[in-house]
Amino acid sequence: MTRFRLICVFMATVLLWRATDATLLACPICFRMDEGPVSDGVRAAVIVLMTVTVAVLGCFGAFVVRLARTENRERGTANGERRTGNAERGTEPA
Amino acid sequence: MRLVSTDHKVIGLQYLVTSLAFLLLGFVLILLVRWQLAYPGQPIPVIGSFLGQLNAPGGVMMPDFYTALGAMHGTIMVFLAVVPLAVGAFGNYLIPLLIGATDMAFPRLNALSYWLYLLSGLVMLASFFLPGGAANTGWTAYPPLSVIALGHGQTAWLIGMFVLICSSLVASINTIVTIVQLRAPGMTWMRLPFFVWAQLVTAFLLLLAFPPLQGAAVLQLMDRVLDTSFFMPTGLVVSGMPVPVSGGGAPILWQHLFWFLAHPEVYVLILPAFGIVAEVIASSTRKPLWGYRGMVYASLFMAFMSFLVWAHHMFLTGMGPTMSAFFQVTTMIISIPSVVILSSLLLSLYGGSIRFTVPAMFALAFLPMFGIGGLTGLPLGLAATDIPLHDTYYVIGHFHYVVAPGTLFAIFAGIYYWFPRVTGRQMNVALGRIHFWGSLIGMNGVFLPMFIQGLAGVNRRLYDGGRSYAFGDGIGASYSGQWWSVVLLGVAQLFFIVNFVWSVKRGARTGPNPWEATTLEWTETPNDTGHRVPPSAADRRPDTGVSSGGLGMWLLIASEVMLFGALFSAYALLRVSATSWPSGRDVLSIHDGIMNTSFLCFTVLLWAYARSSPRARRLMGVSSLAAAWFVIRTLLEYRTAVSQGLLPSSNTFLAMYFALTGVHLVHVFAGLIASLWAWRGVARVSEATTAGRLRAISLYWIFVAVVWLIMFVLLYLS
Repeated sequence: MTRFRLICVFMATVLLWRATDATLLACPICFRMDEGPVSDGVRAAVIVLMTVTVAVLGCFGAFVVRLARTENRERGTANGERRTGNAERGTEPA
Repeated sequence: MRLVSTDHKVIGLQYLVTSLAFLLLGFVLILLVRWQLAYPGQPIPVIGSFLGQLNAPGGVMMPDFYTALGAMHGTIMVFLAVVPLAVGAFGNYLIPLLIGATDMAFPRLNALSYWLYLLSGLVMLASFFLPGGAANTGWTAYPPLSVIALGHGQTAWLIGMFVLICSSLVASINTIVTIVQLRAPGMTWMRLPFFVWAQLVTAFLLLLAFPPLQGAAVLQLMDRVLDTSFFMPTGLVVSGMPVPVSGGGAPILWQHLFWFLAHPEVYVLILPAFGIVAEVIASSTRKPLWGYRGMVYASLFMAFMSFLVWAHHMFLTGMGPTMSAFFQVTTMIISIPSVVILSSLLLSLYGGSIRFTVPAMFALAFLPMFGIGGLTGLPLGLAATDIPLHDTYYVIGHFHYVVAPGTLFAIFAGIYYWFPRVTGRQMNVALGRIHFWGSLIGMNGVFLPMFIQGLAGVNRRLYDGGRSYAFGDGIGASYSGQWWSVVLLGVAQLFFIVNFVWSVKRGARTGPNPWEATTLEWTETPNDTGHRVPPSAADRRPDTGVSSGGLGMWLLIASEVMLFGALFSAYALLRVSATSWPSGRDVLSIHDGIMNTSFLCFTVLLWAYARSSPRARRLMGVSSLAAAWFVIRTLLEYRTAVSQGLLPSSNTFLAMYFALTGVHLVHVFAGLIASLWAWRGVARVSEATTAGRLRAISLYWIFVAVVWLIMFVLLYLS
C-alpha cells in the first residue's frame, strides 16, 4: 500500500469516526441517557482492574521471554560442551 | 492406598472420586428442579416425602427450595464437580507422568489443596441443613438479594467459596511450578503434550481470575455480617420497607468482580477439555495433532483475551456505550482462538485411521457439541442481541452446551481413556456405548429446547417455568419432553456408575499401553502408587534460572496483586460514584498511619539486610517483632475507631478502610507466621534452603509493604 493510500484510509477512518452519530454508538437500553456517577465509577473500576491485569500479564510475558532466552542459552552451552566432548573423543563430524 | 497422602496419583484419584460424587449430587438437584418445571405443584415421586416439611410439604416443592436447588446445582456443578474433575483429577494424576516428573513440585501443598476443596464442599453442603436452608440467590449470588437473603445459607456459600478459592490458588501455583520446573531433560516447551499446555494455561487463569472473586466474597460477607454497604445502594426499599443500611454502595460492583472470575472460568472449564480431547483424538486417529503449534498459541491468546471480556455479561447494567463497544469487540476477538483449536481438532481427523472406541466416541461428539455451544454464544456477546436474550433459557442452553455435552463429554472420554492406566483394566465397551448414546440423546433432549424457549422469551429461575406469563402458553409440553430426557440421561449415568465400579475389580485386564499411545504416561507400570522423593524446592533449574520455591512465591504474589487490584478497583468504583466521600485525614489518625508505615518498612529493610548478613537469624527475629508490633498497632487502631463510633457500617469509606486494612492485616499476619517458621528453621536446614526461604519471604514483605503504601495514600492522605 502506498503512503498516499495509507493516508487516505487513515483520513477516511478519522472522518467516519467523527461523523458517526452519538445515537449509533449509544447503548441500546439507555441511548446515552445513563451518563452519571455510577457509569463513571464503573469505568474507573474497569480501568483499574484492567490496568492491574495487563501489568501482571505483562510481567508473565517478560518471564516467558526470559525463560525462552535462558533455555536457548543453556541449550547452546550444552551443545557446545557436547561438541567439545566429541572433539576430545575424536568423534566430531568433519 | 492411604487416605492422607502426598502422592500426586492418590490425590488425583481422591479428586476424581470426590468430584464425581459432587457431579452426581448436582445432577440429582437438577432432576428435582426439572420435575417441578414439568409438573408444577405435583408431589415429587419417591423422595418427595423425605425433603422435609419446610422444603416440600406433602412432597410438593416450595419456591424457596426450588431457587436453592437451582443455585446449588450451578455452584456444585461449576465449582465442585467439573473444574475439580478436569483440573484436580486429570491434572494431578497425569501432569507429572506426561512431563517425566516424579511428583508435583510441592506434594504437601497438593494434599492441602485437596483437603481444602473437600472442606469447602462440605461447608456448602452443610448449608442445606442450616436454618433457612442453602443459598438461594443463584450461582451468581447477585446483591442486593444475596445480602438481604434470610438464613445462613448464603453466608455458608461465601465461606465455602473463600476456602475453595484458597484451594484453587494453591493447586494452580503447584501446577505451574511443576510444569515449568520439573520437565524431564529434553521435554522442551514445544514437545509438551497439548494436554499439559491446556493445564498450564488453565492454571494461569485460575491463579489470576479467582482472587477478585475472593475479594468480592469478603466484601459480601462483610455486607451480610457487619452491615456494611459495599453492594447496597442508598434508599433501597424491600417489601415496602426501607432497608436499614447506610447505603452508598453499588450492586454493579459485585457483577464487575464476579464476572472478572466467571468469564475466564468458562475457559477454565473448556481448556482442560480441549487437552483431553486432543490426546484422545491423537491416539484414536493414530496420527499427530494437526496444527499443534497453532493450538498452543491459540490457547495462550485465549487466556490473555479472557481477562478482557468480562463486562459482556453486564450489558444490561447501563454501564455506558463506550464500555459496551469495547467489550463487544474483545468478545468477538476471543471467539477466534476457540475456532482455531476446534478446527485443528477437526482437521486432525482427516486422513486418520480412526478407531471408534468409547473414549473416541465421546471425544468426537465433543466437537459438534462444543461447536453449538460456542456459536450460540456469539449473539450474547453483542449488546443489541444480548438484551432480548439476557436471563432467558437461551443463555442456559448456550452455557450447558459448552459445559455438559462439551466439557463433561471430554471428561468421560478421559475417564474411559486413562482408566486402564490407573487400574490396569478396561471399562466394559458395551456398557460404555449405552452410556454414550444415552448421554448424547438425553443431553440434547434437555438443552436443545432451551434455545427455542429462550427465543420465545421464557425467563430462567421461574418457579412455574413461566406458565403464568403470556409466552408460557403451550410451554408445558416442552418441559415434559425435557423431563423424560433428563430421566434418560440419569439412566445412562447409572450404566456408567455400574461400569466404573465393576471394572475397577473385574474389568478385562489390559497391557501396559492398550491404545498404542505415544505419550509418556503409558511407559510406566499401572498401579504404581509408590511415592518417590520430589526435587527440593530450593534447587535452581539451569534452563529457567529460578528455584521452585522462588517461582512459587512470585506466582503467589501475582495472585495477591490481583486480589488487591480487585479491592482497589472496588475502591475506585465506590469513590468515583459517591456523592460525598470523607477525607481520610479528617477521619483517621495520620500519626497512627505513619507509625504503622514505619514499622512495616523497618520489617522489610531488616529482612532484606538479613539475606546478606552473617547475623541473619537475629535480624529475622527482630524483623518478626516489628511485624508483630504492626499487627498489634492495627488492632489497637481498630479498637479506637470502634470506641469512637467509627464502625464499618457507618459509611462506605469506613467499610473500605476496614476491608482493605483487614485483608492487608491478614497478609502481614501470614508473613509473620512464615517469618517465624523460617527463623526457627535456620539451624535445622541447609544454607541453600535458608537462602531460598530468605529470598522468597523478603519478596513477600516487599509486596506487603508496597500494598500498604498505596493504601496509606488512598485511605489516610486523600
